[in-house]
Amino acid sequence: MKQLKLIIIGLSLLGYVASAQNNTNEIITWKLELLTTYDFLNTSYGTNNGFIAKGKYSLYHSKHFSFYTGIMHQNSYINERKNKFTKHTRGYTTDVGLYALTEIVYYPFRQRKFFMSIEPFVGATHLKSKGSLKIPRYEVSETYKNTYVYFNYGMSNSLGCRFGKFSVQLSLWSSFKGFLDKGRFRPGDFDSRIFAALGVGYSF
Amino acid sequence: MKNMQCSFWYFLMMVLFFLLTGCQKDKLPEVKNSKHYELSSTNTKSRYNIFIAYPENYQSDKFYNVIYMLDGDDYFEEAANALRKTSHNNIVLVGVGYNSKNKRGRDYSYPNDADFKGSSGGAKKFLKFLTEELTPFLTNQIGLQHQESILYGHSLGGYFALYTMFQQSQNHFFDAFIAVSPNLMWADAYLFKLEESYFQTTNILPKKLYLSVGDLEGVSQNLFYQAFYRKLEDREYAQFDFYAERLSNTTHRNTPIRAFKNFLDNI
Repeated sequence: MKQLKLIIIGLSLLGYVASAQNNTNEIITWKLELLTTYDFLNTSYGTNNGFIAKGKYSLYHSKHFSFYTGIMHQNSYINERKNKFTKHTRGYTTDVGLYALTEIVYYPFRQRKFFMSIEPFVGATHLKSKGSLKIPRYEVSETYKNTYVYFNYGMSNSLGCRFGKFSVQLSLWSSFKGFLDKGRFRPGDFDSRIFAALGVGYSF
Repeated sequence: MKNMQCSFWYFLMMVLFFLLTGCQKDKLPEVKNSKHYELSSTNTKSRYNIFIAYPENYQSDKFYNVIYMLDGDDYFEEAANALRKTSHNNIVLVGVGYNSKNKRGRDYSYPNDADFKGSSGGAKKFLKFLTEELTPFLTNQIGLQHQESILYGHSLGGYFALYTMFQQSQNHFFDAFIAVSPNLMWADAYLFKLEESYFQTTNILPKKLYLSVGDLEGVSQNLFYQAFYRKLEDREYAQFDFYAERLSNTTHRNTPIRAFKNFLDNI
């Protein structure tokens, strides 16, 4: 919670400093984004955190729309030592992804300050679990390791605000694998993650 | 200006659509040759949905293997359709769901676990509901004649299935158990204690058990499954018919039906 407060204060300060620049209508070519993620659907497995980094190239701008294409790296980590139901496990589950993306940004107002965006992505995710279990009173001692690489796809939806070359945004990052593949409907499962994300962007 | 407003609202609707895709209205399962009942329990004080899927050519004077499926609201429809695609015509599927607020955390667990938000620890009462209220209802009022009784549970439901198998304080009528992705971590691994108590009493376990987990369920789920599987293997219980498997490329919410299909393929 303290970490979240620091992030929000940091973003607010950044927004305040950047708002001194009044170039919100400037046409931009590149955009870099860095977001911190939180997996709010899998909290019982342990504490989790992660990040998403994106690099985007501008393809088109109009009064209210911008189109981008780019790449995205996503990384999340669940510390299963903090599993809600047990203190006997040591280990982690991570997933690391690399994706191609396109983004459609909509600026509802003339100032192009406030924006909403949808960002479909496709790529590959590497899911890894590794850990051990020891319960001496039941003579239990086990280790486990598993890796799985899979085709992943989905969409990120964002709301944000530009302050000159900087922007702050709140996003919902959703894999659609758990919606659309042959398996059960399972949004948020380990092969179909959903993250809430908060981050900053820089355009140049 | 008008166009801009229209596009703004259209855009907003699109965003909301994607945000809310996961929200689905509750509906009754659509399964051919099935019936739905409601049953109130004096033991748990809850009202339950009871879904029954009959095989084709069902005859009321014959005996059937009856699978009691916990979390019936979630799994009954898929499981019934999966069952229909097999050649098993001697199985009746009974889904047990909630007519009012879902109380699975309370019903499927014993003892209470302080790490769980909400009430827990009511498995004894729920087992009484199954044995003293639901089964008499099915037998006497619906006319369903049991050959073998099988209890299916997933996650905390899987825990309840194993709890029922190893607890010795209450009588029950279940011959077989399907425990899929059981939460074996519950209450500081209480099931290990329960199993140990059972083993200290007897090494005869005249039951059938299908146990499974998905390999993509994370570290803790898989480690506990592995430990419990090894424990049961090492005991070498007499008269115990045990089959266990780890489902590959399968996550927690993908195991319920895959495991059910595998169970049907292996009986």
